[in-house]
Amino acid sequence: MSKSGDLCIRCGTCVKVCPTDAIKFNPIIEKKPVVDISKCILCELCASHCPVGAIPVLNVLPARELKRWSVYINRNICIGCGLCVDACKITLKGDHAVYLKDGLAYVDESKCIGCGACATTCPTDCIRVVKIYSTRKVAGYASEAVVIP
Amino acid sequence: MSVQVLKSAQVSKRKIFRDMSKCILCGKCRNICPTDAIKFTVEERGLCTHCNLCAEVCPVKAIDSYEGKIKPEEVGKLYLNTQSYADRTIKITCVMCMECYEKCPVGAIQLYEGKLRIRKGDAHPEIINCSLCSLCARVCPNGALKFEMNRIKLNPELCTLCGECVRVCPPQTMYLKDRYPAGYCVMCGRCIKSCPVGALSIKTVSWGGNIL
Repeated sequence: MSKSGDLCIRCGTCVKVCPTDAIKFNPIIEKKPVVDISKCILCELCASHCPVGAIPVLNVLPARELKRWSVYINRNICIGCGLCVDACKITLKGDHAVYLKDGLAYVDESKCIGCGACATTCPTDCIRVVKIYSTRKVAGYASEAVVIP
Repeated sequence: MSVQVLKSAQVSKRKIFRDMSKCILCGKCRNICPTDAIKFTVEERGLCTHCNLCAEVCPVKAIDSYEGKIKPEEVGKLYLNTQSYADRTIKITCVMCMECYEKCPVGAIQLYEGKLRIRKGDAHPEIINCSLCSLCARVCPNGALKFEMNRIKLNPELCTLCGECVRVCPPQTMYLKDRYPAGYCVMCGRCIKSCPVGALSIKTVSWGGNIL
């Protein structure tokens, strides 16, 4: 288990796409998502959506490509806690796309890779990330857009 | 919310396993699948994918077939070697019964100056089969679809034609055929027998729930 925490960027995409709610993740107290194996049905949706390949694809679904994304920050509810900046630092390994200005969160579009870690961590749900996956390679889930949270 | 996960806990399932390093994307398994559980898409229609179906249906053996002459492993090599395979032509013994023309799944056999010919090229195919995830059986509101003994079964009497199973299917092999759901794997194993390179097998895949 020495590799644990290396690949996972705590983006929470697997939690959103899991059709049986087998994956749970509390980003503030946990390091990475927890899988309830008794609920897992091996559909491999989480594996094909994972942006860094932290979940192995066992059988059929090939990895999907993230085509485009958008980050929306509702600054009326933002409390300026800075948790999104900490989450982004883990993803981008030191650098961060989300920054605080005057106690409110802003996003630098040129650095953002569209993972959704900031939206998963946000305690007030003021950040919304919409991810659109390419459907050329995989015929895919009918709703290829993932909205976090 | 605390979830207790044992270290040795694993979820495992018997599935049709496709070895993508061996698969030559000929699409023969799709042609032979009785339930249409394999989805095969090509970017450009009308180009030969080397599935060998035309040679099998030809009543006068006017199309070259490697069947019976060479071992299955060697057939795969011949499939991959486009130089040798590109020589495949329709011989003069053709009686114009149009059987291959009708059966070709991608429409690669064309009429040209009164003769049949095979159009060759690279069609950029993609293949995906039913992953037996049993999600369709889970969302079925009436219990018409059931996941029993590692295969999916449909009871048409209970089906209300709602189409919910088609909406949730992760590889989207499910579709409505004559208004009833079709395209689910029944683990008959015909695709495994048909594969010319032995890329398909029944394998138990398991996952311990570890996220790296």
